[in-house]
Amino acid sequence: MKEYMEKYSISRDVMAEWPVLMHEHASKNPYAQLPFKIKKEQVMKSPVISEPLTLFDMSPIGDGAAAVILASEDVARKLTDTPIEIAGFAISTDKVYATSREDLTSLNAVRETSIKAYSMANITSRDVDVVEVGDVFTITGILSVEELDLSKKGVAVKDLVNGRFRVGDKPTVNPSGGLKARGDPVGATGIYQVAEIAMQLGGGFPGVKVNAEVGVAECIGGFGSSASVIVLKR
Amino acid sequence: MPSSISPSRVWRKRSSRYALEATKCKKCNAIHYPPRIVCDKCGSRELEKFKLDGTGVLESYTITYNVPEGFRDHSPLIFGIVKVNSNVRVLAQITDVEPSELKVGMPLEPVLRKVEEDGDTGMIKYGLSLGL
Repeated sequence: MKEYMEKYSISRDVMAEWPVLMHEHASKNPYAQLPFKIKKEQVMKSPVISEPLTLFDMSPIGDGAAAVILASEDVARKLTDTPIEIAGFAISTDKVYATSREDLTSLNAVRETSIKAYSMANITSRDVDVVEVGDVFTITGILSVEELDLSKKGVAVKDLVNGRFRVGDKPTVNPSGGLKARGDPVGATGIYQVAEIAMQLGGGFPGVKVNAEVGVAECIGGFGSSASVIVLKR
Repeated sequence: MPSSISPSRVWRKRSSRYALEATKCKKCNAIHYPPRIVCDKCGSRELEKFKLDGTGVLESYTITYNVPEGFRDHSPLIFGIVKVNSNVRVLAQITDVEPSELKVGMPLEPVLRKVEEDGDTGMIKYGLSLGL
């Protein structure tokens, strides 16, 4: 996070906009683990864990479960009026050690995966209406948005500060509240991301609603040593 | 109480841990620390031992306040990426430096420090940190 802030001249308090947005979205999500709004000042005053990351820059520990039902198209159409297509998916890996990476402000696995998944789904990043990114830390959320090509490199935080990524923007980012506020029950996280995107596309999401045709769920392992991207279409 | 320190593991890792022994790829000359079996640049398995000289420069660091049990009296712990041998990056604990003294670009050298011990009479595990 330090490298990112230094490279793109972003001050520490500006980075706090990410957890603030996550909590804003989660406050309306009945599935969220931490459904309350927070203020930037709270982020800045919270205990420093591993500087500059504070308690409010990290997802909580929690337990949870999630499920999706996979079916062939004809079966899906019999079961629901809003079947959602898994239009693209991919997984990529990167070096495990931070010291083996060329650049600490990039998540190459995410970028590579998104290129493969978008191609399979026949879309570009500009078609994405709603996205759930794996913001296990503030910086991973920010970098994910950039590596998914939803913001230019170094610009995601500035976009966030300028009011982007809320409902009404294309894409809306983490309407669930993300890992930070909706939660990260690890094994269930990837599935809840897909489930909530599917609910957005189908129109049944009980929280912040996005009018969406194309949704993306991104999950990372470690510090981007592996990444998966799933593209869903109405 | 059973020790969490494994003597055989400490023994196996002694060259890389205490002598900063890395591996160097005979095919593409890439240097890897911690040591590897397969070169992560070109995929070759022809690697040889390569001792890093250890003195280097601090590239990046973080100060960790949420310290694991057993290490609380050493809080905060400082971890950093140190560039040694002009182009090899090592992730290590930074020691003998006050948090306020930390500066990117500062020179550091390897020092042996006690990492943990198994009570008063049990095994002591040492580790390499990088300090002033």
